[in-house]
Amino acid sequence: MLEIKDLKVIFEQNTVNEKIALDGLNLKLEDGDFLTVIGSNGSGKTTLLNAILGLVEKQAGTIILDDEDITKKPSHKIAKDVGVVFQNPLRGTAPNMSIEENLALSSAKGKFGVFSNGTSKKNKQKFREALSTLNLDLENRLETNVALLSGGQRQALTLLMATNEKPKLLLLDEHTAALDPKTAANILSLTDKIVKEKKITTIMITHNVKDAITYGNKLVLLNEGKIKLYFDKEEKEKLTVEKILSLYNYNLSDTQIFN
Amino acid sequence: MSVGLIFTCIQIGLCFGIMAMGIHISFRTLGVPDLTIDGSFTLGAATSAIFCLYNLPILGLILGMIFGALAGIVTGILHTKLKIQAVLAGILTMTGLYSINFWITKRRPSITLYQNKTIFSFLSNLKKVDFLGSNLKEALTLLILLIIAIIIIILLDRFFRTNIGLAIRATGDNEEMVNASSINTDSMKIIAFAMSNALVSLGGSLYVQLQSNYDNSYGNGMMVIGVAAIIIGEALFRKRKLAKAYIISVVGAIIYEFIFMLALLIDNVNPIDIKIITAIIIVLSVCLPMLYKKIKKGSKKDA
Ligand SMILES: Nc1ncnc2c1ncn2[C@@H]1O[C@H](COP(=O)(O)OP(=O)(O)O)[C@@H](O)[C@H]1O
Ligand SMILES: [Mg+2]
Repeated sequence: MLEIKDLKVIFEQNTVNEKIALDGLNLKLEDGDFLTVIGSNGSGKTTLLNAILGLVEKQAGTIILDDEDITKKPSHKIAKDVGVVFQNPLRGTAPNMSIEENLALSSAKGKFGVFSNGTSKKNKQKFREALSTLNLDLENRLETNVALLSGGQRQALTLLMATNEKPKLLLLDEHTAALDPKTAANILSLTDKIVKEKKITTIMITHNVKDAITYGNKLVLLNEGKIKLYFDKEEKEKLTVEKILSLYNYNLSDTQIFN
Repeated sequence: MSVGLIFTCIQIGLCFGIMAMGIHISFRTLGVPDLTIDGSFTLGAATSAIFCLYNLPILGLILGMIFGALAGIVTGILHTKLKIQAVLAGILTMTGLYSINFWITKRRPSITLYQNKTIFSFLSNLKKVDFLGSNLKEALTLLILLIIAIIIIILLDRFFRTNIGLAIRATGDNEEMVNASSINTDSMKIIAFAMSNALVSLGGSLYVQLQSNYDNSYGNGMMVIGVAAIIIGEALFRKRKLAKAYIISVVGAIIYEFIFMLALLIDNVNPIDIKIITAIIIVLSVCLPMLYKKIKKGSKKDA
């Protein structure tokens, strides 16, 4: 369970460049919830994820994950429980290391057998099995350097690394935005499959309103660091792109949001 | 060039090669230039020399390595915890080591060890036994250094496949990703600096016992030599697997030493000019393979 209370993030506070990125945001997710997040550029979506991950300083508020207050926990410790995939496929993997070495690092997460061989026979078999679920034929390329993979393949690998050991929370920040439409659709359905199979509590940011409606069981619209619109499961099932757009225009009279 | 001189070049090249493998860890694996090197090479040399005076050469090597590791930890902490730039952190440690090295040698700038025990001195009876135009002592000295280098190559290759080794490599490759794997990248950097300087110190420790002599200027320019060794190696050989990167560094160091020796052999060369001659030769040895590749590509385009 994730509970965010009165979260405030202000960049460059007390300067002329002061920017309130999150303005007292509240959010509650039950176990297994799959929340999709939409909102215009600069509405604070990425900042929300960075705040959960401990990557930005918070001016106020608390973040509680499974009964633990993680508001002030160092980022590498939060990472033990929270998987993340960013938009840029280059961010999630080490390019000059092989697929199996990348997987070894992510699966060492938490239970770090310091001097044990990360790419032992036993681990290789485990990696092969996990990779075969991606249907990208990566299971036969364990020793290939990640730099040689396409953006889509890298993103699929990152997704696998983030979810292989079931995280308490999975964060996805426009993780298909840098891919071509066909690959993006594949990665998105792969994401949905993994999240459903493993019942992972997930927050997915997307700029695509249709995807936000199609996937997940809850939807929020962020604006100026606050949740402006919230749809629970039943409400979300009845939603259409047109409806969101009309509601949005009505509420905010800002028409250039979803272009 | 006589066989004796060739042996000498390889012996010194192996000492520098062990150092170069250490430099490889910071310079290539982490991707940060660590200027502690000049100081930690001398640190190993000074420690080794003092313990040879007491006829404890092996202890000298071991403590030399440990002190080197400590120097690396200091640089690592300055860099990661106190957020000092890597280059400056290294320079600070190196500067401090200048004094510390004098403390270790009890303020002596140089020490001769011809009368003392070194790890090679048990071979001295074999000086009279001819071997390929040199003597057996030199050949076996070379062999001992070669075995030490090979053991280090194997250990490094193994280490960088363990979970912690992978984490250190990934820290140099994509720090953010390592953090996202719930690993403290600061610790990984500190460990890498420690290992790097331990090997550099070991190189200095062995060099002193090879020369039966210590001088507080031994470390001067070692960073340059180590980086030159790595770059020469990489220019001449393609690196693929891990172990190969280390073998290449050692071979590069031996080649460097040959270049240096050849420069010395130039008729009427003034010692002052040797440095610039070696610098030019290193640049050439790095550029020539690159030029060669360009020319090959160019001729393909024309065809
Ligand atoms: N590191 C930062 N320093 C200063 N301002 C920032 C920083 N990160 C984000 N911002 C600002 O905070 C606001 C929210 O940004 P962000 O969360 O990235 O928006 P979104 O992901 O919804 O497009 C923007 O106005 C952005 O310019
Ligand atoms: Mg964003």
